[in-house]
Amino acid sequence: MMIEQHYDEEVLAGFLGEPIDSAARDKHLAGCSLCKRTLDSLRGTATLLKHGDVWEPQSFSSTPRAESLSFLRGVQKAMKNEDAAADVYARQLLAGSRDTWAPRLAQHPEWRTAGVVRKLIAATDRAIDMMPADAVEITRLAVEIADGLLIADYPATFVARLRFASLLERAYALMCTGAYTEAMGALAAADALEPTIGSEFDRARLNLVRVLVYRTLERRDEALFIAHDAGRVFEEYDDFGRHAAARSAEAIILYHARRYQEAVAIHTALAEDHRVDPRWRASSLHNAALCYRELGAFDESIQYTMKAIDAFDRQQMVSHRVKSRWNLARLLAAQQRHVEALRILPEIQEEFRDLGMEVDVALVAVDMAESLLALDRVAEIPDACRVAMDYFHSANLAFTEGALTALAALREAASRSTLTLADIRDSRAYFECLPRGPHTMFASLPS
Amino acid sequence: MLDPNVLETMTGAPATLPVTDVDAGLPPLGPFEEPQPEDIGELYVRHRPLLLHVGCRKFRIPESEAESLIQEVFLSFMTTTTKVENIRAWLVAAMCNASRHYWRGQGRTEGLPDDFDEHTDPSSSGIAEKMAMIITMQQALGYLQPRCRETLYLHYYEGRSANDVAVSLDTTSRYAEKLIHNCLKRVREIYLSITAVKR
Repeated sequence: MMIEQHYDEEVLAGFLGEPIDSAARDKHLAGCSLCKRTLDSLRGTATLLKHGDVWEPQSFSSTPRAESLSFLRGVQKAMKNEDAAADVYARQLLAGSRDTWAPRLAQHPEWRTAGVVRKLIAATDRAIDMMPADAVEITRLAVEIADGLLIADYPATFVARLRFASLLERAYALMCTGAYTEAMGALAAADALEPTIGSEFDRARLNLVRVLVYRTLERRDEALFIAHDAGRVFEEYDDFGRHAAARSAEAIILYHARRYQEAVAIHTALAEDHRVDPRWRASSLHNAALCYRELGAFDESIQYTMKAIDAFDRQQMVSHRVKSRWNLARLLAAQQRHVEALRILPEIQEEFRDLGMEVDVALVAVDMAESLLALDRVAEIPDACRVAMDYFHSANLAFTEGALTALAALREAASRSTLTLADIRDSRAYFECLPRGPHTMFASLPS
Repeated sequence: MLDPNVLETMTGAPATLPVTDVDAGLPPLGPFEEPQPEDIGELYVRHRPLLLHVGCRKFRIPESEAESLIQEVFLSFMTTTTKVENIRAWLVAAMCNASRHYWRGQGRTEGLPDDFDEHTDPSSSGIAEKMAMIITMQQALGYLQPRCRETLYLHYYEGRSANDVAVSLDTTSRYAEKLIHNCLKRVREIYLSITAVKR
């Protein structure tokens, strides 16, 4: 039987005085992770001992202050009691349709507590996903209650913090419903409170909402600066979820500003950062692939797309995975590898159909038509269009009529052998605009 | 024209974070995601020395003032309406922020700490970890015998050779070498025993 031999600590400590590469050259250390870890640990200890601060005696009391303990526990207890009551109040307040909430609150002045504000803020998250208009009303009530709280009833800055938090939620809810002017108003009101609470973390959270608003309003330079600064703050607070959100926002703004080189640097850094959630990292891989595509670096783009598909697969992000596969097909087509593109496009179209991503079903049909045209297989285009048309017939969507017209025009042109690349581009532009204008009708220019 | 293929992931901020890779060297002080205790007092007791160190050492704030800032930081922590991913890092960053705010409020234009604006330096990230390691090492050194502490001080902090240490301690070089190794081993053991908490 072989017994594995390890260096004892004294031998390992001997390496500390040697240049670092002497340890790297040592045969046993190179293959023994246990000895390597112990040496690293000894090296860490030795490095720390060289730090002046570890030798300074503590000049302050190490005993917790009784008055601080009692103050904090008192606040926590008061909050807990208030929250318990608020749980019932908030449920009663938010019962029924939203037009009944304000009148009900008016009848119950006892519901105007900090606890209810906290409960309403908590309810906003759910409402944003389910019914954004409800979230707007919930945050309006939260702001109203927070504004009416008596500062003297709470510890210093407590009420200001709560007002700030409710305004932050309000700005976000308004932004989600497209009420950008009102969202800017809520942001400005929160800004006014910022000097009182002096919290850079809360300011960064507010700025993340501001970035979303500014991005939509195409105030890109300001949004970029703010997003970058917010990302730095979140990193300091070890909040890598929000750090990734801020950095992603920055990169997406850069992408839309056609600053692909800068955008790809951020996406690739996020994709490699193991502190960041795998879902964010998967999205960054995909977005990096898109940047490379725009830069004409097709090999890198394909490489990142393959990684993204794999990452989305592992995270079970189904719709994202299909989008990534679609990007792969588009990359292959851009490289004139139309046969390969056509091999995967029908599957992608089917997956989009299953996911109910209507416009993408049509856009894939357009991509198939383009590849078939490039391969001079025009006779197959009507079939490709028919699959999408059957889907739109059965789906009966708001934009079914327009979509069917566009697809029919494509099919007819293919049948007559008059289809051109320009027709295909018109169709693509039309489908890309559909989500923003579902009732837009398709009209092709006479050739 | 916007590319419909760009993934807009802004609003889907993940609720949980992955566990970080374990660094070589000394272990981090406690789990990456610290469970939030029911009692805020417990959290205060656990993190007060570190926060006081940040306020008093890093920002040179008088202890009584630093204590008030700690209260303010905990108040901010209790009233935050969002999930805090890494409590210790959050508290340390908030203490740095509160300390800077304190000095701004004092209207001081001179005599500020050299690293007053360190937060703008990207290398300042991970400050909570670094400070916690320093405080733990201070604690570990406190448990050592005076002779052992002196040996480590002479060799590692002052950078003296084993021969020089031997002269200072009035012993042989061979014994000084042995002492250096044993004391390093001992302080590392103590450090590890302090950090081996609920992992």
